[in-house]
Amino acid sequence: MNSQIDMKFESLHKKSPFTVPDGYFENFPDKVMMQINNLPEQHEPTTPRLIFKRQFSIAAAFIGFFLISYTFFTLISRHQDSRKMAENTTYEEAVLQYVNEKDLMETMIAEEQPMNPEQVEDYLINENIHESVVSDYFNQ
Amino acid sequence: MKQFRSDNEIIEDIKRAENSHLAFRELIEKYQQPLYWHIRKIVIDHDDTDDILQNTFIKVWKSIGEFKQQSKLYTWLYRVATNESLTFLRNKNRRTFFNIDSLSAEWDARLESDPYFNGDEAELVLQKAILTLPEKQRIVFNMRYYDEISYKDMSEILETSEGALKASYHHAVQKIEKLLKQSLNLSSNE
Repeated sequence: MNSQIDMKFESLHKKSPFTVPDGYFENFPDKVMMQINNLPEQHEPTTPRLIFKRQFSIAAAFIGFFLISYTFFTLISRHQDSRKMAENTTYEEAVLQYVNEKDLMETMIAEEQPMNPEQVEDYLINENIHESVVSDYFNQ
Repeated sequence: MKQFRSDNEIIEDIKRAENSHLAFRELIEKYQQPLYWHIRKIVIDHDDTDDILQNTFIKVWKSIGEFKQQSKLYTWLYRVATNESLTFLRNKNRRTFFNIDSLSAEWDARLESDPYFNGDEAELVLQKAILTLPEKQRIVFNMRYYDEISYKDMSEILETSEGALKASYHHAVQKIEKLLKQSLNLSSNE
């Protein structure tokens, strides 16, 4: 550092040129303590009820997540099963999965040959078909 | 001169509910002056310093429970005071719409009109030169030059490496030297 400036710094002797009002430091602690005494008390809620509520919420969140995941994966798996079935099944097989073959036969017969009971009886007699054959058929 | 207990003893008492207020008062009495002068050199004005110092101790009171005695109490106190001062200056700078020239002129005017400034012409020139430094560099200069705080402690207070602090102080001294030279040249030409 330049010697002239050194001298300046020396003469300053690191003395702060700032001052404070009279009695400032004597009164300052009282000012701060008054503010501290007026601070609201901080409450730390750590009651067992609140702890339980917190744990319950966490558990409920996990259960909810599990249920949603389960539903999601089940739906995906069913969709995949349906697609697989569709790829490997003919139309007739698909229909027959939902329809009883006996009912289907009856419907087809009824649609093709609408007869009253007397006509049925006549037919059976003319064709020499014993009624037990008919009853056996319908009892299958 | 009043004798104070060690920082650890004071902290232990503060953490005990029955003695906390009395012990905290002792903390205030122990550190009010060093913290006051530290803040004052940053913000210059006495009333602003008073506000910031009060806020500092209130903040310390509220968070003393979290203070881990691994670091020194006084570095922690200085850190709180420094951050409060910088926050104050940033809010003040925003109000002057970042006009650096007007800020610089404002600092000079404040110094010259401050009723609690007792320095002579040389000290006024030095203070004006210090005020031209950026905020953080000014803090580094004041802590090293006036308070003679070690770079190690300064590093804890300002959360900056010792190397960066040394470089900052070196550059601060160079700038102030240059400004004082200019001022001396001006006064010798008069």
